[in-house]
Amino acid sequence: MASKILNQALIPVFLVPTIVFLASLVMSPSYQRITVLFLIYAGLSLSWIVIFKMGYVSLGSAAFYGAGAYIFVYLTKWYPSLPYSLDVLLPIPIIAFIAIVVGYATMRLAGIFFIFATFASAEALRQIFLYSEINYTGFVGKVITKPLPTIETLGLLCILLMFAGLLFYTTTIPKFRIVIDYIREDEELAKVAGVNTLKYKIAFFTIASVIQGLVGSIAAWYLAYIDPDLVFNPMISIQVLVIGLLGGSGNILGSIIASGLLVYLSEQLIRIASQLYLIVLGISVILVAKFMKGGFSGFIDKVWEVWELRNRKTEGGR
Amino acid sequence: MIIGPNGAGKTTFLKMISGGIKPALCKVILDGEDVSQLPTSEVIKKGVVLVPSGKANFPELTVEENLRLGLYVGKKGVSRKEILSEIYDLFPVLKERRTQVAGTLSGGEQKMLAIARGLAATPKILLLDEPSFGLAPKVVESIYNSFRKIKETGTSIIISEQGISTALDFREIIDQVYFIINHEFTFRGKIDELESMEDVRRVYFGV
Repeated sequence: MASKILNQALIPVFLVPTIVFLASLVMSPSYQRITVLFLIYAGLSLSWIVIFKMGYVSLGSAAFYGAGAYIFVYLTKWYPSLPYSLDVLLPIPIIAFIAIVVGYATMRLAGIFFIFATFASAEALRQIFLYSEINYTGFVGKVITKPLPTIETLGLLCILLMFAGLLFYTTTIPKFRIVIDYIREDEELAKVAGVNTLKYKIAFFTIASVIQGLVGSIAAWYLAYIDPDLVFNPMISIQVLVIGLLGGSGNILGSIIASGLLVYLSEQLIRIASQLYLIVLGISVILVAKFMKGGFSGFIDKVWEVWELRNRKTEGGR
Repeated sequence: MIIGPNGAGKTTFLKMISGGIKPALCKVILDGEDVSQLPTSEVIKKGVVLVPSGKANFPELTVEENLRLGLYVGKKGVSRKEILSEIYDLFPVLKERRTQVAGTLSGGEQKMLAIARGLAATPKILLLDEPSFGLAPKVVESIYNSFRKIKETGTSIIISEQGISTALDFREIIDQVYFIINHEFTFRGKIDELESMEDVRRVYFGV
């Protein structure tokens, strides 16, 4: 039961971000900055996991992260009278629209074609924004005059992490879980069985993308400077993918732990040598794939199971 | 029942009326309504459910999870518990194996599960694509016996079969037989008449 509680109950969805937020309050400013980065990746990868659960490996996280960032910054430039908090919320319908279009076009593709299509959509957006910046504003990069303070950023990102956790939670509710399992295992059969697979796929893809976009908006607000190469950087998509694979899709803790570990590791290793991080990243992915199937979350589930069995045994013995 | 040799168009026909294939030149009319261009998920809500031949379950999900999907996609406003207990009455073996993963069931049990999943969507018309395919005669018999009970509940069944022998064995539960060859229905009537038809004799008996 314990692993079930961990998987399905709402408690970790709210508890984990709250703990992270409270812990970050007592951190030194440099660690708070690392925590912001960690929360950005946790939010992105937890949303990525939801798409992954349907059998789709997305390399398009940067597309929505960047779109969220750019739409937010443009809104602050075009409508200076609006409060920034509204500018963060206004991109939601626009990102949802982009996600529906991208989803409708790409979710029909299978396997490797989907990966390339999402990767291409991120690159396309990067080029569009790069082109528009060069030709219409004259210079590349945008600056925000009033950046979001670190504590507020942490709070907002924790709330977003809760939403990502909630989305993940809905995929574990029996009705949706069965539909998602069906889509992943045999979509043709799911269609014959009467599941409107495209509707479910696009719905989950869109909500996950909107959360990724919101993470981008808040990140832009916090970082105070964006340019297309920064926010549409393909490395973001790749990192999210690696974190997702490391974390696994079993429960929400997996990808949160994985992103915390990777972000902290990258911060430490970049100080020594920037290439070292990529080497460690590659080796750790291979090790996890070989020895920890299901990633960290699979490992956590297994530990829970063993713990439970042992408990049951001692109870039985008494 | 639809009988026809390999490649005659049985599966295509069933897929067409269940929404899997959209016909270009003809219409599928259900209760006076054209359903030919609706997606499968909508056709199922209207009461037409196809149980495909071959692999028709999700091997990594349990028996009950497989059945639950049938419940979800079916019509709204029916008691799910009641349907489930009716299905378990019909196929008691599925109740025993409720929590078992579908991939570990025997071939016959998997077929029963597929049919049960179809029934869970509370169809008016149940389409079965070659339900006897690859099964032992005894299993075929028990499956066909369950059709008798399904018929009694008011659900119509359309079965496609390759062989004529199953149709002859269970002639008493078959109201109407269609013979299809080269994508064309060439016969419609009682099973006894079909036996003596020239086309059928040529295809199945070689005379």
